[in-house]
Amino acid sequence: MAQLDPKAWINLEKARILLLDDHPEGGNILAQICMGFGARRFFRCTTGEEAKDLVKESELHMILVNANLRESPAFDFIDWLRRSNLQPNSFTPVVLITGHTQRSQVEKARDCGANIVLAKPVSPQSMLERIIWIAREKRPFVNCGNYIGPDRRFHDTGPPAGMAGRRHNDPPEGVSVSAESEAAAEPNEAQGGEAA
Amino acid sequence: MSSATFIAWENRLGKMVKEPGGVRLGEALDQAGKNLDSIQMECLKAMDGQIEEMERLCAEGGRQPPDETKHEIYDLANDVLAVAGSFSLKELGEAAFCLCELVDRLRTRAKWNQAAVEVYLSAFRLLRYPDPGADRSSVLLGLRGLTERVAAIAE
Repeated sequence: MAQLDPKAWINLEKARILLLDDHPEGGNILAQICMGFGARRFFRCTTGEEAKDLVKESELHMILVNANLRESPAFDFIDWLRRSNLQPNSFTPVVLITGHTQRSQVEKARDCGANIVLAKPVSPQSMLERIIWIAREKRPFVNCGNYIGPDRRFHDTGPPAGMAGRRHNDPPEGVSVSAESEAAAEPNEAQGGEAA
Repeated sequence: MSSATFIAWENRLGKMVKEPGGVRLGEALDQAGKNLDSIQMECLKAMDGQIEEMERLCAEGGRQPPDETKHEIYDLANDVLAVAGSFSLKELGEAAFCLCELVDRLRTRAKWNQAAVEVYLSAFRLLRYPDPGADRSSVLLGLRGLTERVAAIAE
């Protein structure tokens, strides 16, 4: 994460934020941190079903989801959101907040379509870094059938060696992107710099 | 091989945060810290209740607790993890993470080790009110070792 400039500004006064967390203290921690950042408009839900109803009714700018919901898997809600085709909410940035993740759920966490993961314990610093990161988010969304969400590739290193790419702008088979990047004299944001 | 469709989208949050007004990042961090301070007591009180509940569940469950008890202990440990580290109890949060790992590995194999869980809960008490001079890192090291040994036996 980039270092924060304490003199830079952030305006979250009008941001409509969904907090999906069934742990009262965890939800309070998220809310108090975001209020400190100037956010005022919160919607708090404790189940995926409640959150789905809200997404259908209200335009949202950011969604914070506790990955460890008891009643309904948080990953299912995010996957539903991405596939919902509810404009503009289906593209709303999602921060997935994880405690311990069950081994059986690790792949789901990766593939659910969240923009970024934030590991607990949450601190003001770590939360602000993630919010700024997603505010700068430029990765396109990808729909490849079994996954809909932000492109999981933060760096464009091209398709695997010996394989044709699936992107229209992938290089032809046999042409290595990494070979090109090795020859580059200057840092290239698409290859190794900050994604934001 | 499936094809991938790329969809451009408007980052409405990105536009919003740049609008005139708002707060400086330094002030935002300060205020968020003050807000956290204001709820510290109630959060830690609730966390203490969650540790007590784990102790009760562990004692009542005995050596072969039902799956529901294992799941509840796992969830409660995750709750402790969420709170402890946000209020300067970093080691307690890490211990809670280790307990989650232990419980997850045991329940996946339909096993249980009451004594190991009790060791964790005793450590929670120790780390909840840490002695400033105590070597807390060695407690964590011991807990991690315990998880590995117990999980290895369960496999």
